[in-house]
Amino acid sequence: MSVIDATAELEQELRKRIMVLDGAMGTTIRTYGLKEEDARGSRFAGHDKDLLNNGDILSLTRPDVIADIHKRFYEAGSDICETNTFSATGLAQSEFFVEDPREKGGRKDPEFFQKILDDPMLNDLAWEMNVVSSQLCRKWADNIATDTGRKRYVAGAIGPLTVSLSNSPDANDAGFRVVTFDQVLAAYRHQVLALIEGGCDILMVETIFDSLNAKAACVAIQEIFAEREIRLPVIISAAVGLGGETMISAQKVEAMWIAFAHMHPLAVGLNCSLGPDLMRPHLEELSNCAGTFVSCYSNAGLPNPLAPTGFDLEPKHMHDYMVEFAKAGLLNLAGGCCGNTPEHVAAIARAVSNIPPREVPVLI
Amino acid sequence: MKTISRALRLSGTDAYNHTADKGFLMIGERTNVAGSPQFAKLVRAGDLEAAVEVARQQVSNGANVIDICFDDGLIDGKAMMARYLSLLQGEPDVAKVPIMVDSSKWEILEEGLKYLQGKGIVNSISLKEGEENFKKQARHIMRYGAAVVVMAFDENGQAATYEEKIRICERAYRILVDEVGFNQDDIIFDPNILTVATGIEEHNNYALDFINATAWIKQNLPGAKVSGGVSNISFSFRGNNKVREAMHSAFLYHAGKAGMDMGIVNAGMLEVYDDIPKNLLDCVEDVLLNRHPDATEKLLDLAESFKGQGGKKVEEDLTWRTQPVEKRLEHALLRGIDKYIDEDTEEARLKYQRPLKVIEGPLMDGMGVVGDLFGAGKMFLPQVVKSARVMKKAVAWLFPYMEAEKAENLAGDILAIQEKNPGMSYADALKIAERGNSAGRFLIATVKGDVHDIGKNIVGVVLSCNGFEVTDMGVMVSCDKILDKAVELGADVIGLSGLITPSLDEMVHVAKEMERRKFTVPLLIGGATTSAAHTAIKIAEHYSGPVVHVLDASRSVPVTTSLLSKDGHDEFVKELREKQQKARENFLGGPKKETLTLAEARAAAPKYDWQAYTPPVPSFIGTRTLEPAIHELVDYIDWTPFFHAWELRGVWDREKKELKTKNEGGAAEAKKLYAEACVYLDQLIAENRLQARGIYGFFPANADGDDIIVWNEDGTERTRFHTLRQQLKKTSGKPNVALSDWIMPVAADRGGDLRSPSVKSSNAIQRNTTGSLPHWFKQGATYAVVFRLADSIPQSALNEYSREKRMLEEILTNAEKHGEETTARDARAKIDSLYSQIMEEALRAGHGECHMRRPEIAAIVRDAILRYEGQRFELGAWCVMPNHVHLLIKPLEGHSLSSILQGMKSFSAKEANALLGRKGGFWQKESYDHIVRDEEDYENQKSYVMTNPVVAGLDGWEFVGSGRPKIAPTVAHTDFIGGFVVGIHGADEYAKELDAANDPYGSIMVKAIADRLAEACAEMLHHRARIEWGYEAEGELTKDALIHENYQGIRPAPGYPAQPDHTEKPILFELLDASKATGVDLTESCAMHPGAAVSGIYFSHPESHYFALSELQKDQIEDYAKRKGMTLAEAEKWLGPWLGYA
Repeated sequence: MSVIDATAELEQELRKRIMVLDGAMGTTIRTYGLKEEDARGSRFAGHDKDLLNNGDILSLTRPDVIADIHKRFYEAGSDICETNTFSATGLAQSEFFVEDPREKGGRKDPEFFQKILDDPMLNDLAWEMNVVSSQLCRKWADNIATDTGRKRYVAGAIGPLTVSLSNSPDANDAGFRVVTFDQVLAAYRHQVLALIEGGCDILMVETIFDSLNAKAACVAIQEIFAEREIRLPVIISAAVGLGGETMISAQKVEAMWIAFAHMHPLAVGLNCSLGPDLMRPHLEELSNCAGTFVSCYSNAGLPNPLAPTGFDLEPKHMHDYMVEFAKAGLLNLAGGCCGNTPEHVAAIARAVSNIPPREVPVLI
Repeated sequence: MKTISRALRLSGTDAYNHTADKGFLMIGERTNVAGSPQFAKLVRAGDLEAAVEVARQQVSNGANVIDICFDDGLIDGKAMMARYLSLLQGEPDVAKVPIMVDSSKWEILEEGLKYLQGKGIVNSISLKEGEENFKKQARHIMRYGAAVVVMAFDENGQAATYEEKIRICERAYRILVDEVGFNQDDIIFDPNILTVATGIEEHNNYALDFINATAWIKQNLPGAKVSGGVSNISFSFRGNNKVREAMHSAFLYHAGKAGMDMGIVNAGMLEVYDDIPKNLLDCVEDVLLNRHPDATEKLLDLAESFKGQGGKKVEEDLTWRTQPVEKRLEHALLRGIDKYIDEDTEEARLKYQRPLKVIEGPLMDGMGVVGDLFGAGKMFLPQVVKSARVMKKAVAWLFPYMEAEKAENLAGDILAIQEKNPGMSYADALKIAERGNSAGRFLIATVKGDVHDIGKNIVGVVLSCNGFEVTDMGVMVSCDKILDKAVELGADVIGLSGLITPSLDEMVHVAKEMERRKFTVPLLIGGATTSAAHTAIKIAEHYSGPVVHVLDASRSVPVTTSLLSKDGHDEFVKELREKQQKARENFLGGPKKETLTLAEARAAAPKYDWQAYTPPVPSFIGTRTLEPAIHELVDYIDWTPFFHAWELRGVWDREKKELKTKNEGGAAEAKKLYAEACVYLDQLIAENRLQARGIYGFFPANADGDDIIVWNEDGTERTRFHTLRQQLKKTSGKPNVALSDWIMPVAADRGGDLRSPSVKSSNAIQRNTTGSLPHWFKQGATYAVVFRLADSIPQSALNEYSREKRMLEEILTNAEKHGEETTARDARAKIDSLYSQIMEEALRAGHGECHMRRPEIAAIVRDAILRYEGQRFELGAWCVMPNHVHLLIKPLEGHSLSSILQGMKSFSAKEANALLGRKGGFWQKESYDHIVRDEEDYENQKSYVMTNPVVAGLDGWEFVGSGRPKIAPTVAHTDFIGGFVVGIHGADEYAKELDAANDPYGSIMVKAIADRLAEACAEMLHHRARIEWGYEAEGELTKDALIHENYQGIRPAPGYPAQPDHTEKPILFELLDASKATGVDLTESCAMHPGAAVSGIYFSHPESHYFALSELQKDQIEDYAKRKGMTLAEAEKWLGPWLGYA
């Protein structure tokens, strides 16, 4: 399989305009009103754990829904859509497929996760999710590109995992980790290979809670690039708290950029966790120090159970924020995270369509 | 156009941009085991909490980056790197800075990279193993997003000169930038800072070479940085911090001007450049810049004047000091930090207005936290004791204020009390007056006759931590004093402590007295020999108040709390009484263990074939004193009981230095405690606080039934030890042993003719204290003897002897210190043979007048020798040499060797002096003798004596003979027993000092260590004794084997399970004259004073082993009492807990 490195054309495009990312997969899925049996399909009908919250599995059990969502985002104006693979690793899927040892007084530790890594069923499932999801997204990227005459890209989503390399869950032993770096590295390698296999244009290490997890993902990506002598553009995006630090490992924005600059990512950015207003100062900081393109896809404000999307901000609000961000020269890529539906993305696309992109600083 | 400047940009959780305005980048080296012995010590001891603290301290001291290195033979570097970096991730204060992963091992660097979420630095890689390896490693580092330090090494080694440095750095730079694609800003060269002022001329330019190479790199290799380990430069001046600090600063000043970007520097080891004294700076710069050929000499001279001047101290992390005073007090209590307690307490006192409010408020709150954590098993005793130390100091600070306040408030009461008790002091009256406020008063003491108080002190501390007012009366406190004090204080609880058996009776006595004096307060019983059963059966029945046995300090709190609580008291006492009643019933009426009569037990004694047994013969008879330096004892320490003293159960692993226990927290605490004990030990040694004094000796002995007779040299009985025999019926078929079983019975030697134990000889063994060996006559023994003319040993030989000996001892000490066992063994052997070598050489050389060269003199001596042959002694061989005499001699019954020799010497001296017309000493006073061990030894000695003239080149010498036909060496018929006493002096005094300084932790620590040293000293003496006894070779056993007692022979102590009767101790002490030699005294209860003392009896028999007595029956006690000349009641009193009848 030949892999085409789209870095140059993307860079060229990004110098011309602010490109548009997609919105929230999870939020949009919920608008389809799916039931547990939809998530299970016939394939997992007899499974003993609930799967409805396992959004990634819908690529296998309700590919029609996932495909429709991709189609709608691309139609709304997304240049780049992310695959439905946020949790498509054996490590993350184990939450849905393996009994939690803590229920029986055990604990999750490297020994437990080694069994997960060695589990062929979980490996095969994760592989299939990544390949199939990439293909679903690929299909609609190409369809809409053909329809509109504007090239669309598929970004393989690489999520943060449900375990942390920087944090100890054991209050009595700050040195304890449930999982090792090498185990996380192995899980990410598997995912990255499958995403490439499925035809992704971009690899997107996103919603970074723990920079050390993300570092493992980046090592996996570079190892595979070196082994296969290929290269794909990489986007790195962190989820930061109110103080502008990664949610779990507490790394500040600039420190995070420095830690990943060696990747020469196509873009570095922030997503999730905050609405645009609260994200702005951190985005500004990142914009000032990052020697590459900057992406931003915030949540649609704060969670609000009474709102139809579960979040505060409506499309018009996102529109206004993005206009302001773009005019301030903070944006090269814009989209939305939790709470952003295709309608939000359409508004964002409109907002940034005629504003020049942020200028990338030059290293001297 | 927006721009970003090129710079080395690093991160932890915070960014660190080393932009042009930043100046010198400080890399902290205190977390490098090579840079900080203190850190290495902490890590080796497993105290990672403190090790993390070191990192925190460095960051708060301003380190921009911290260097972390575990390259140490005793540390698993890879695992430790993983563990330590994981811990640092959890420390926000530390995690913010970038980390330099430092190792000479690639696998450790690889491991370290897996724990850096930010951008760190790898230190280091080089071209040492060729380009391919270098590239591979660089690519790996790049993938993990770290900067790299490249050492100026290549395939040919280290770059020392300027030319080598720039050649290698340029080559490495080109590979990294052109081939690997490494970010040029992330390349840091370390062109090797090498030590100057070494006295070697080629080294003189090292500093300048580095500085010039730095300038070249900065000009020619864009982006590249220069770093180095700065302390290397001043290694020649180790120990002279003043000079080192000046050198570091001056070097950094000049290297910095040349463009050096960063360095591994102990920020606390830097003088401010401008503050360096002018003369020192000149000399230092002359050396660094190689300005004068004699610069090193001059700096060395000047350095002398700065020696010992401490440099700067690393500052500690004081962030907690910014918190409010309550938090600070809590912090201090939790962490056991007493440094600021006075000022904080004072601040709190001013804030709270009244001193008592401070105690009841923040201090008790803090101790509450400590108590909770202790209760939950999250803090351990040593930590709690440290907290208590802080508490005590705080209270000590408040005390005068409280006194003043109380006096004011209680003035009326005090007056009233003093009126009633005219003799009472003001202070005592005050105490009674304030009685109302107390939560509970605990009076604690070690009973009369006993000096052991470590456990008691811990109880005191723990209780005072928990809000009780503790009055500790110390050790050896008589019953009257305890009870008087209890009345005076109005004590709510009395606690009695004791370690030795007689203390149990004293406790019974106190209980009876409490009953008589109508006390009702609870009595707590604790100490090693006490037990719940003994308390129930023997003590509780004498006192109608509650009598509670307390197993250990941690139990003392709940017990005391229950006893003093209004609600819990009755329930607790009811349960207690029920339990004790049950224990009594079980004892009296319960099923008994099956026992044997004394006659049956004796019949079941082990049977040995004494005719076939040759007891080992000691190389001397009598005693030797030994005062080893404390540091010599350290290796003999068995640490396990030390941890037990601190209530940390488990077995100490000497190799791994960890406590094997199921309680992980306990193991961690033990590691910490061990590290601290080592610090105390070092201090005790350095300050010469303790002295070890010991004596040991050997004596001829035979068993007489269950007694052991010790003989005088004239064959009469000198004294006897009494032993007790196991009476439990054994189903295993094992014998019922007594200690006397392992001494050859008297019947085998004498046919029972000397069985008159009532006659105790008052004659002490004659010992020639000036000679090298004591002269002792033993029935039936054969001796090899040498005596010399008074002038036969020249001063030069004596000088040579002492010089050689000193040298060898030095070698030995060094070898022992560095664990070079072969060298040490060699040295020991040489020392042993030195005397005979040099002295014999001197004798053969015929020094002095050599009177016996004249045949008429030699004839006089020969006649003196042969005069009583056959009447007083038999001769195996004899030889008169020009200046000395050899004999192989067996004294006959009734004649002692010394009297025989005395006779020979005085007779011949008189005759010879008359003939020679001289006066004064003819013979040297000393003789050298050696008991012939066996047949083979006899033949060797005989041949030695007979060939002596030939070896000395005296052809046709006639004054030599073989005496009578061969005499039988009959040494095998007497056995030997040994004994020892050791004491560690100084601990009690030092502990008292520490107590006075409100440092109970230190006090307990010192006593616990002294106890271990006493045991270690006993172990060391026993080791020597076995070697002197001739059945163990020097160096045959490892220290571990020694501590685990994997050797032949035992050293049971009177008062312990194999012979629980403490009254055997005076017999031992008298035999050894031990009190005089060791300063260890016996109390009326036969406890040893000082408390850190050990005594015991040596047995050499290969079957001898430790055992325990129990269930002793009345028939044996009656027999024993008769043997000892005691009444039955006396014997029962001393053996109370071991009796198997009521």
